[in-house]
Amino acid sequence: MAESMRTRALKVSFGKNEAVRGVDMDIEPRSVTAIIGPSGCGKTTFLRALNRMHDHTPAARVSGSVFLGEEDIYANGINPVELRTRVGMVFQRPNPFPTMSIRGNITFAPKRHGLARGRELDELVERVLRQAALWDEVKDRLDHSATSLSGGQQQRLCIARALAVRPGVLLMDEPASALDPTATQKIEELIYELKKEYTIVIVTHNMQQAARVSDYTAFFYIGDLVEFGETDAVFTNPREEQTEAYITGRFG
Amino acid sequence: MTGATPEAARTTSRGSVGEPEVTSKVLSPGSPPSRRFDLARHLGERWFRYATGAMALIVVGLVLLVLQQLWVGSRLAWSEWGLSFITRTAWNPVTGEFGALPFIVGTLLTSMMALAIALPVSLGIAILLTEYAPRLLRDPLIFVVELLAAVPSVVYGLWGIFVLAPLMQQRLMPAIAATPLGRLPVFGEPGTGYTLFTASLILAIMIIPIIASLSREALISVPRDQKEAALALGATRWEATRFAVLASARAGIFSAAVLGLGRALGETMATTMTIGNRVNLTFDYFESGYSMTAIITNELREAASEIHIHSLVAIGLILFILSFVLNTIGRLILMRTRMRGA
Amino acid sequence: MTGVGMPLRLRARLFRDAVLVALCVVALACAVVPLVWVLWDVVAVGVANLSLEFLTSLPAPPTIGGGGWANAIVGSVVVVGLAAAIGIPVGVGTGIYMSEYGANPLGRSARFLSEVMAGLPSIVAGVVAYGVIVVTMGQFSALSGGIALSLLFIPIVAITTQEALQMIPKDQREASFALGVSEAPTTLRVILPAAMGNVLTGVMIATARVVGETAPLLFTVFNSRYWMEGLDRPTATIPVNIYSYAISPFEHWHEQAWTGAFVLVTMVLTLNVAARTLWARRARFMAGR
Repeated sequence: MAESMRTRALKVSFGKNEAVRGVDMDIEPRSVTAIIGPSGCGKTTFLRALNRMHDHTPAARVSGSVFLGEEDIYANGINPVELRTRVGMVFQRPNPFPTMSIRGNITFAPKRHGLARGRELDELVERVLRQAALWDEVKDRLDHSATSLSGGQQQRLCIARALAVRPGVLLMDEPASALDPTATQKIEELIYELKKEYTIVIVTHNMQQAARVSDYTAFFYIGDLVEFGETDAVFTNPREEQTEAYITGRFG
Repeated sequence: MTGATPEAARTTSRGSVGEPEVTSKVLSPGSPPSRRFDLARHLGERWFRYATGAMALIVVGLVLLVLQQLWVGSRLAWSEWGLSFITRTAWNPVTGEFGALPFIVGTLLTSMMALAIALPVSLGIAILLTEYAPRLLRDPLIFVVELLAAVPSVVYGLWGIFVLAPLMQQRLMPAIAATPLGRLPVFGEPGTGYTLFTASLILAIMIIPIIASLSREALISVPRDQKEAALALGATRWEATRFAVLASARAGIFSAAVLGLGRALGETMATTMTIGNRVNLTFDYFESGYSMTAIITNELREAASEIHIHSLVAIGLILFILSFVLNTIGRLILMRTRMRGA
Repeated sequence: MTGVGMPLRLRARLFRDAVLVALCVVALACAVVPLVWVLWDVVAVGVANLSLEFLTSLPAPPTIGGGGWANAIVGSVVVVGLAAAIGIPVGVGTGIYMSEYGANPLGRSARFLSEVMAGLPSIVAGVVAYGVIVVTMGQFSALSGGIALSLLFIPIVAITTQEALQMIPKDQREASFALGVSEAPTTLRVILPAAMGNVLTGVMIATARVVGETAPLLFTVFNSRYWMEGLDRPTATIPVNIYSYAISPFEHWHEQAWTGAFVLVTMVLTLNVAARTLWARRARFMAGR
């Protein structure tokens, strides 16, 4: 189920401003890849290119290629709607649908995709909520509004919601940046669990977090992939001077 | 000028403590003489405030004047029939029998049909403009839709008389009568072109711009991340719009509909020129009818007896109350949703 | 994931997506087609009969033909001018008060009642002006029409003025205070000029709105076949003429109604486009081009 991803000469620009300038990167299945770098370095832009979210930004232009398994997701005939059932995404700010219940948030996508119905849906809801370590907290109030949850719970609901589509890859855009330390720790534990089944790419501005949760780390600087390797190596023995400067806190 | 400044310092309260002090010091004789005649300083702080306040008072007074006029001008009708004036169906200037029901029904039927037609159309426009239209086309299209609101009512009426009514009579109404819709009890035998339905269609055209622009505002105020959440789960653009955007914008869209309905109620010329102007308590859209605005338009100038005039003004009062209630509800919801959005 | 291998369900969903976008385009057409249709008829029929005579001479009896609406054009300008002369000071003043001193019962009621008045059915304005002025004076008059229209003019200007003033950033006000300028000159010399573009836009929109109003004029200015004899006398106006010519039984008058509609629509659209251009230019200027 977990799939690998590769980018080749991936460029994203907004008008004259080139936010990602030719990135080659191989993302291993069943692992956590962290993307770090100072703000404005193109981390989020890169991430959003991996599930074609830029299709909905009129000014954005993407070139180069992104492979999911062996398929180029920017090739003709690839539909972004179907692609996103295979590459899920969790956003920086928890964004549950406020008009839907907790259950409704989770069943929204599986219903549309025809993944489950009736009893299967209930099982699915329980399974993904358990995976997201949220089940015990919400099992008695599945029909309450999703906005009745705390910020950390909302974010775990968003993760559960993404898992319900059974993606092979899960993209996370600073998923814990809006949360308190306790909630952050829960999300990190969750990521550690999830990598057994999923390929995870996480953007973070928190270097400790990257060091704690990831197997691979990519350092971006002004749209370029400066350094990419196993997390231990990048943090203990960076090859590039810029990387070292950043992780030792000399800039960024 | 120097004499005026300390006084100014005293009167500019508004919670500012330090500034007036500074004012009097800086503007004391040492400051260079102003060559231009400074109206504000001449009047002094207090007078400026009072002058604008007087204008605000005028606005308040005008609304009171409107209410007083409508009440005094209609009191004979109320003392004669009381509230039953609203439910009476007679309208006979010769015998002096008056009642508002046929006009209230005509107004409600046409406005609600207009809303039923305009709401889906306006929503479609709003969705297209916020979610789908390319950026280059967006502003011109918004302008075009707003132009619909700029065309005067009487011009729509003119067009209604000479273009739409004949078209309704010859083509549209027979066509609708021939479809399954024609079997609905609200559509009878097509006859004349001046009908409740013709008036409804014109009203629909006229209220599309306001409903579309308020709905668009409601759609825009839905946070972008909700739509992205849906898209990231593999929703199609329509599904994302329907479940993430429309669902969150419901209150705003509702207030747009209410305000549109309020606009339709008070619309005068286009209705008067197309509704047929027949005192006729009917629920058949293919018949001629009357509206509250039309009866006032047609008869106030020529009304001879006092009770006739008072009955017309009473209809004006009912119209004012109806549109006041709708506008207030619409505004309140709008204000609440705007505050939540901010 | 390619087109051919796409699951049926996904294809059905994408199809529905496309259908609904198409429906939205149809909805837009439902608005644009009537607009183009109305404007087309107004221009096609209206221009065909537009002549110098129409713009410069008095009406002729329907049986003779010819004649013009010069008195109505003058009448409209005068009545709308009166509405603006009353409406601009009251509306702008109210707007300033609501924005600058409005945190009190008077300010709040003025705001609420402006919105009530903005939703006032125009015919009610006519009924009130009829009761207050026509009945009192014992005759129809241009003045009563101007007052009726000012009831519609004032709230639009008051609301747009208030909103325009509040769009001016707070630091402008503070910058002026910091220079030792007190409140009234700050408002008149700093805030109002900065907001002037939008205030003017509001005035133009209000003018465009009332110039086409008919219902409030029917029983205030009434009508006349002659040149206006004074503000206390009835007068012809373009919108009322369109109405009475349209419902007359004469073919020749029907044509003139269309020509009148062309003149009126030209005035209204010019005002609208001007207001819009002004607003856009102002926005560009404030944004530093």
